[in-house]
Amino acid sequence: MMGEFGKPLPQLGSPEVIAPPYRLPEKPCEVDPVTYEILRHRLWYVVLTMGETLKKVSGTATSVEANDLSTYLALADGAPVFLGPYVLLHSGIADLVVSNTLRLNRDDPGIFPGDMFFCNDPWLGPAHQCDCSIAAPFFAGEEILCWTGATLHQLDLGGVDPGGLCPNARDAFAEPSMYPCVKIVERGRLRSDLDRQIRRNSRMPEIVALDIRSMIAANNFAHGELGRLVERYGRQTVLATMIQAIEVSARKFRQRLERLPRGRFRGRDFCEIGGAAPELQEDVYEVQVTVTNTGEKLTIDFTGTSAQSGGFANCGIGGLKSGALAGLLEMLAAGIDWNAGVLAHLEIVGQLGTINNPRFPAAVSDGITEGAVVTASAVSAAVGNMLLGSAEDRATVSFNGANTFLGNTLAGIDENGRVWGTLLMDGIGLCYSGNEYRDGLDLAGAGGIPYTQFANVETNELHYPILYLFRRVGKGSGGAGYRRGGNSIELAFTPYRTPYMLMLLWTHGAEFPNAGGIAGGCPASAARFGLSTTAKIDERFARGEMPDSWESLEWTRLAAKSESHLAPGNAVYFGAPGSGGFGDPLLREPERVLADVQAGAYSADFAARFYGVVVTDGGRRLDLARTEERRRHLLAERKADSRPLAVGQHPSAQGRLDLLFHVGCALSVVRDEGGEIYWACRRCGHLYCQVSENPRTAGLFSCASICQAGHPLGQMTWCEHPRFVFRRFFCPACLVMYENEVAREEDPIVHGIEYSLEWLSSLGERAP
Amino acid sequence: MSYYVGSDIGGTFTDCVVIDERGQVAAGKAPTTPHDFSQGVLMALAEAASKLGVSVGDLLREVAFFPHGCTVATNALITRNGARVGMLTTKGFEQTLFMMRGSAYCQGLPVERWYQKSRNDRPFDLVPLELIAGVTERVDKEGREVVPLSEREVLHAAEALVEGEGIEALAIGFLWSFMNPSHEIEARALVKRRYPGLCVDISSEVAAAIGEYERFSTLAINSYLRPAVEDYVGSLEEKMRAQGLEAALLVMQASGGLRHARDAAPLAVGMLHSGPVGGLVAARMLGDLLGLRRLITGDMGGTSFDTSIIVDGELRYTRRSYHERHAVSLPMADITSIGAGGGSIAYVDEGVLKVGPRSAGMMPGPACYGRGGEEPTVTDANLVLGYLNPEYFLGGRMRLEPARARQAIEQRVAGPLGVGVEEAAAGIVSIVNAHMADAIRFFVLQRGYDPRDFDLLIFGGAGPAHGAEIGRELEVRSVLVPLCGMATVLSAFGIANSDFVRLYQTSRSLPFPPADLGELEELYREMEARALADFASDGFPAHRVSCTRSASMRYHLQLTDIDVVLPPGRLDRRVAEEICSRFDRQYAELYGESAGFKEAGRDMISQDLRAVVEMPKGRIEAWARGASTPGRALKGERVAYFGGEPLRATVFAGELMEPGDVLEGPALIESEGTTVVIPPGCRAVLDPYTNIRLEWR
Repeated sequence: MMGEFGKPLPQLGSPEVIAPPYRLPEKPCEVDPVTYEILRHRLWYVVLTMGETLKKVSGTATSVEANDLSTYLALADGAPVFLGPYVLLHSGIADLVVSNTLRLNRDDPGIFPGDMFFCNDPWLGPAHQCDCSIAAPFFAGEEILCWTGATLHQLDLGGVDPGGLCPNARDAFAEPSMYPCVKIVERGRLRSDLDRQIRRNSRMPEIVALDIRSMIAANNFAHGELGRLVERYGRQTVLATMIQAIEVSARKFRQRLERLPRGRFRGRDFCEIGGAAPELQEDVYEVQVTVTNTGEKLTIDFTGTSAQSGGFANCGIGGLKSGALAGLLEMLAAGIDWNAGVLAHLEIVGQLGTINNPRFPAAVSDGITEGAVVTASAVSAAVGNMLLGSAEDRATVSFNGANTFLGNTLAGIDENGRVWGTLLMDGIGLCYSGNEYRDGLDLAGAGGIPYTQFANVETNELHYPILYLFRRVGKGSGGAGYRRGGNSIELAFTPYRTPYMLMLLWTHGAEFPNAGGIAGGCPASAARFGLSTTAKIDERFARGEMPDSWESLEWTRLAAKSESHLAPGNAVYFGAPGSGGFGDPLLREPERVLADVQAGAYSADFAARFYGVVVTDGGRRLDLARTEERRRHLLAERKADSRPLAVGQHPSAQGRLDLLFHVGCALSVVRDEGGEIYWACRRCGHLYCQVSENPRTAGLFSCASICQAGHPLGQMTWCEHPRFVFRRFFCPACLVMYENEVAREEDPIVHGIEYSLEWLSSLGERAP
Repeated sequence: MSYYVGSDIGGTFTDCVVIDERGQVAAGKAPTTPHDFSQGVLMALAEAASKLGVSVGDLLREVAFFPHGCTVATNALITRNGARVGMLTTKGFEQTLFMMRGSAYCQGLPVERWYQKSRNDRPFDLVPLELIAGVTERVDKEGREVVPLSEREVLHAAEALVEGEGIEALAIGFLWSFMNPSHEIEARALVKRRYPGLCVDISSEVAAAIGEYERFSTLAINSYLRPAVEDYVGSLEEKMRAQGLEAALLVMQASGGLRHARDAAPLAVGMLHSGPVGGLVAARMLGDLLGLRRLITGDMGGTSFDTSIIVDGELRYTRRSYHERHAVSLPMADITSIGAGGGSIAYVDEGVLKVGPRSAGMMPGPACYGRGGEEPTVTDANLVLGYLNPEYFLGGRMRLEPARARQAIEQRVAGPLGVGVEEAAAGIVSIVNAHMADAIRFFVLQRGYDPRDFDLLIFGGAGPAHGAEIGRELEVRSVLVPLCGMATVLSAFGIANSDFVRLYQTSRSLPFPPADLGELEELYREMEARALADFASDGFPAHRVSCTRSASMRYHLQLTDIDVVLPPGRLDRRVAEEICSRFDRQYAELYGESAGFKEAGRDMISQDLRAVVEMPKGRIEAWARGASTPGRALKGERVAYFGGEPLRATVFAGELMEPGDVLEGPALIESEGTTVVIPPGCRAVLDPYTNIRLEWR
């Protein structure tokens, strides 16, 4: 077992800085605090109103109901000042789109007042081609004062598969047409030739036309407002306010980094299957990330990430940046305006030719749900490792949650013979993990999308020929833990009054869980997809029978990327992955487990297996004696199933040990009288190893296939040929589970937390 | 003499307005008395009555109706003092309420908090999950029965909920019930037969709208509020009768109209917003009186700032609103809360002065209340700037402590910023004015209008101090402070001038025009027949009921829907064409010429009927224009700060001002409960109805 983590791929060039820290421009003048606050608030409302304008003019389901859009205000160089509260997976693109627009157009054809530029090229901005952006320079006199921009997901812009996410594409030429920062509005007028061309290349030209007009309207609105503000306050004051908004965020973010543990923190995540082609079916891609905090700068280094896919799972550079931001903003920048101030202390490093930074013309149309989401997930795992040593964050932050979006395309013929197609957005019903003091948040939505909302069952049934069988929070989809993981959505439907339906799935995480456990908590479930061809739903209905759970039908499992053909009476099941638990589940108070079972968070069986808590009387009563016995049994099982991994010496400390700080639920960093610093068990004080070493290799180690029956994950994951294993790490003395990870057999054990020794020695007596 | 009265029982004060047949208006105000609301009503009524020289006893005998607004529904929701509700729903969809369509951690919260939703909490459960039971039944989108209702399961579940869990009310909500309510009706009948005393609501009656989450949420709120509303109405009516009230007790609805209080409980959810909507009715009335077609309303009190708009003389309705973060899917006056009013707290963050959104609330309240509040608020800043008279706050009912206000601003704002106390206070007020203007502008733009085409009507205790500046920020046509002395009792005034209103809704989604217009005509006729029957039971003959048909429409493939008023008369091809062109015109007006995707065709989403019985109202008389020298009202002078400068502002008594009076800023008009601030460069003119119109030169 065990390759090396973070090792550059030899066939690719050396790792390079993809995005250096943003350098703030000088403020042209000072702004008094009152004017600043008045203008700042007004500019923020301009960005909010742009979003409303987008929704109103476009009026399409993706914009109005799913909020799949974004708006921004940026400086002349593209540095974002405000990002609207929409899809933050679009957020990384503002500066890319603007800087590329400037680079490509400044000299020829030139950039003039009233111009706007259209971009959906994943090498110049967005994560995938369906995310179209229109950027508009705002001129004050001869010069560009700032940019506004709007992005909207398009339902179709061409490509080999309908819907713009193309499992059958082997390169970008088989995907939606690309428009590399082209001038779509010239001195205030929509260019009809280009408009015609874009429409001609879409299967849904009318919707695309509306969306383009809505983005133009949003920019026009913003420019009207900006004009009034410049007239009233002067261009210098407006500019100084924008720069100061970035400065304030930069200062706050810097202060945040200073207060956090320093060192290197690692995380990783995977996705399976590259595309529809047979040779892509067995592929697994990995995003590896090392996050280094020096107290003044955060470096996010993706070296070690898999080479690019031959299918559509890659994401463009915008996806890489957006994924990185989506993975850290909520955890690191709560209470800070999300703008270029954060980028001022952020550096992104990686190799060109990887799954999240592919060379042209790789296929990238699934980039937002694959490369970008896996990037976000790996970054949030690494950032989570950084925060585990901060008592304040363990009490307030929501650690990495579930981000795997259940991407799907449904299409067919309805009862009136009309062709229809859609993307069922229910899969956005994801959740968050908790922290040391709070359980995970059921159905809190996807990370990186502040306001998540899915449509009513009635709305979907009205528009599409489907009939839902059930829709609810998926019981036990979250990982077990001292603080349990959140649960996500599950649902099933049957084709209704339609002869035929095609279903494409384009997601990942059905073979293994993406949302890992935190600090010894269990990982969440994997995503679960099922097709029941034997369901004969119509006959059941005729008998007055309503199947209302996974258990009530027989299912064939579907891979995360697959194509199915549905016939009348069939049933389809989607189960979204939950989020990871926090801390060893055996530490959870039995009363809380009882309450969980009563609230339907998981079953009594789940409680017994993962928590060692025995709930009887149909969920009404706690059997404390049997719980104690059961927990003893589980601990004994841990001992029997595991072995020491360390070959080195058991450390011997000198004299008294002082606690420096706790890390998560079951680890501590302690110092002996000789000044040596060690990893120790927070529960029993057992000394693992010197702090520079990886505590995961210093305890008891257990490794099993994730599909093994009776294993904590056994009932939630599926695959025919298990490639992933579940590694658990226990304290040799008290057997508490202090860490665990899901990986392939050959993957290295992650050294998740490697504190800076310099920082540790500077700590003195105080904990962070 | 006959009188028209209106009462608004608020959380802190109870207001009464009495109008006599000569058009004289008088107001009274008294603390709200929650142990027995009638006492507060009678005290306020006595004050108003004495101003008109009549006794309360005579007044109670003379009035034909006694309309009022109240906070009972809102309060029961805020304090979570509702019934223990159980629910029956379609099997497989038991968690619809709990899931809240995935937005439980953001819904109903200000946008700033969406960015850190993992730190937010869920709203409380209207119906705990364990009290929701799924039963076998299914209907499809056309209303066809897919699986019959299982009577056995209904009875079994009801038994478990009633006898096992001790529920006080049962809500029954099934998928697609608004298309075919038979399963809900059948289930209710089964339960009622077994438990005749149990209060049972069904979703197709409470909110017949598409969208199961919002429909069930509306249903659950209704069941949750019913017992509290029933108790309240019963007790108030009994006590008022004991005091000699003979007329019918009426209650204001969020729909903007009145209803018999005794009929209100079955639609308890409709009593949310009962008070504030009175302010809108008054605003509409003033707009009609003054010929102002487009009004923005700003109701700023000690702890809240509510805004709404009136367009072409009509209240604007929304089909979706949030109350304590729970969705309500009923047409309600579109009122949005945009801030914490006078209680907004100021602080310094990273050298930047911030105001709100945190509020000092009523307790401890602003520092100057002397109730232990240490953080400076907008009210403190107004006091420091000399806008408020510490001896005449709430008409002298409360004394303010300027020293505490200064101290709070000095410590928390002026000190950290290194500026003087007055400068800091001026900063706080400028920021709150600008922020309120931003929020109002957003609200108006979001609805497709431009605030510059509107007049701003500003009221509430704290509003008139900020109206001139907010109006200037918004670039509205003019700013109005209503009917001198009415600014703090405007809701009661509106309630006194309201009509009976009943709204009906069906949600048949169809391409428009449909192949069979007759079917649609039939839908409207059914609603009209129901309206006439309902009003007949209130004692109103058919000829007094006027019905307006409207529909919610959208372009196919687009989700933005707008309400279109249907032309009167039978629905035929010609009327249908007119409906299409009205819709196209409205859509283009609101969202721009190119926004509508006409080629895809039009859909009608729901059918609505508004049935109104007009009530007799007091006439507001225009006064003759008097002299323009308001010397009679001069109270004196005091120093007030404008633009950082201490200026001598003349102070006038609002009660003594007369039509035609013109005041040049800097000036202050003090009336009971509010102060109108007239900055330098601004002029106040009293119109013939004693509204104060503020104009910037």
